[in-house]
Amino acid sequence: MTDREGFHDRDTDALDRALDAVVAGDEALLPEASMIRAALRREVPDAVARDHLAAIRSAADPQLASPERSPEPDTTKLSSPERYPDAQRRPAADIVPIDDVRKRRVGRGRRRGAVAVLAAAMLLTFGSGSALAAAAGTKPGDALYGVKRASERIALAMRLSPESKAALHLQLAERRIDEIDALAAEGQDVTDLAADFAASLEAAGEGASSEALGRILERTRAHIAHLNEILNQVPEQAQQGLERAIDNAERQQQRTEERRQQTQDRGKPDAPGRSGDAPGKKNRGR
Amino acid sequence: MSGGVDPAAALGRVLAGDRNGFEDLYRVYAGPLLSFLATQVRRTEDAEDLVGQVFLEAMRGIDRFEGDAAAFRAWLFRIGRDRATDLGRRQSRRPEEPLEAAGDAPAEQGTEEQALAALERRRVWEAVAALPDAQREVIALRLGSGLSSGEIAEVVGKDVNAIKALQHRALGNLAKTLGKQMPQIPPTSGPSPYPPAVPRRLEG
Repeated sequence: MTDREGFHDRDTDALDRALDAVVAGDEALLPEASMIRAALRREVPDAVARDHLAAIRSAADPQLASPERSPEPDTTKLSSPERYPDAQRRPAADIVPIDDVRKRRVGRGRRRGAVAVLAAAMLLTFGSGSALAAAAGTKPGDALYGVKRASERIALAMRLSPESKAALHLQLAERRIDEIDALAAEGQDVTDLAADFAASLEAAGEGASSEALGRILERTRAHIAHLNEILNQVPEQAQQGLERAIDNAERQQQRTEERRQQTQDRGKPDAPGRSGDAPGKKNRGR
Repeated sequence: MSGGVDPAAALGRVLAGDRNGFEDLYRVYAGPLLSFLATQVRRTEDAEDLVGQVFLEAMRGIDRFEGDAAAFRAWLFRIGRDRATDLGRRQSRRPEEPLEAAGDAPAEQGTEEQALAALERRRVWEAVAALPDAQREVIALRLGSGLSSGEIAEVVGKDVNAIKALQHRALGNLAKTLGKQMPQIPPTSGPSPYPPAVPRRLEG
């Protein structure tokens, strides 16, 4: 294409008026510009907009935050030794189903205003990605841990597309692994973190594409291998919680395998049976 | 999702103290903002985060805002532009994710026609991503967000003729990249609402 044939030989005002018409909906006037417009335009679905608005309101004015939408663990307890007083005496509980984990979380209580304000301030100052990074090294019991979790929730609500949300859930699962590492190394109970870890993996898999599920599976396998690796290295009192984390991860691995298989089956009705590794418990390190 | 919402009325409610008016403003401007920001940052999720930040910042700063709906829209886009620039200082500014990230990838169960359309959109997206910064910004605001050249001039702080020249060059570059024969622009009637373009060397 030469300048003489295309936009370059057109008067900029005439082009501008034609583009006004394209933007107003006259697609026939400049089909190529309409094609570009179609490729660039994004919409925010109503359902997503509602969540997004609620998160923005909550960040702008924590007093408006709904306890159901943004439960916040009590950071005073998180910072106090009472959180893990009986790690050695704590009996091995059954694996906590994900649905129960969610219900339990809803009941944890109203968010603490100061934490949300600080999280919102970090969002405004650094952007949500950096806000997450700023407190990334904290773990339960640290002063900024509540801020970290609050900013994670806000960041999640700010994500609009299911793919973006899934990617962040997977990132958060990896964060929980880091925290599990840190707490377990200190001999602390990681049961709650194990449940959070499993819930993040579960959320990452919801509505994910086959390709994304493959990535989640790959990461989950790596997490399981890592947890098995450190199982024998952590103090005795942390091992039960760690085992629970491994059990949860293995259950999630199986669920993700099943989801991926279902997604593939829907895409290829004539495809043969399951592909990929069959899920199964690996030998524990102990 | 902006159907039926009057941004001037919504802004009037917000300025009168009814914060619920923000919901309507969000419905009008979130999509256009997302369309713009997705071309300005590396990852789609960053653009989504930024949309939230823009409205958060606007909600917190509305008491200091003075002006009409057009000024409010320009303010929103300026906030978005500034935040994208901030983010760009820490990251490469080029959008690198194709349309999968925006949920526009060919559906696994989609028809061949849908898949081809998605591929075409991806080609366009990549061509836009490869434009010089100033051209990419203008074309995203013009065609992605639907702003007029006068409105874009307000957002980016340039003369309206500079905007028209940038969009002219951007579309020419896109035509070359995409191998398209751009159509002849139909003759227009009446004088241009804008002053004649001033020939000068422009950025980008």
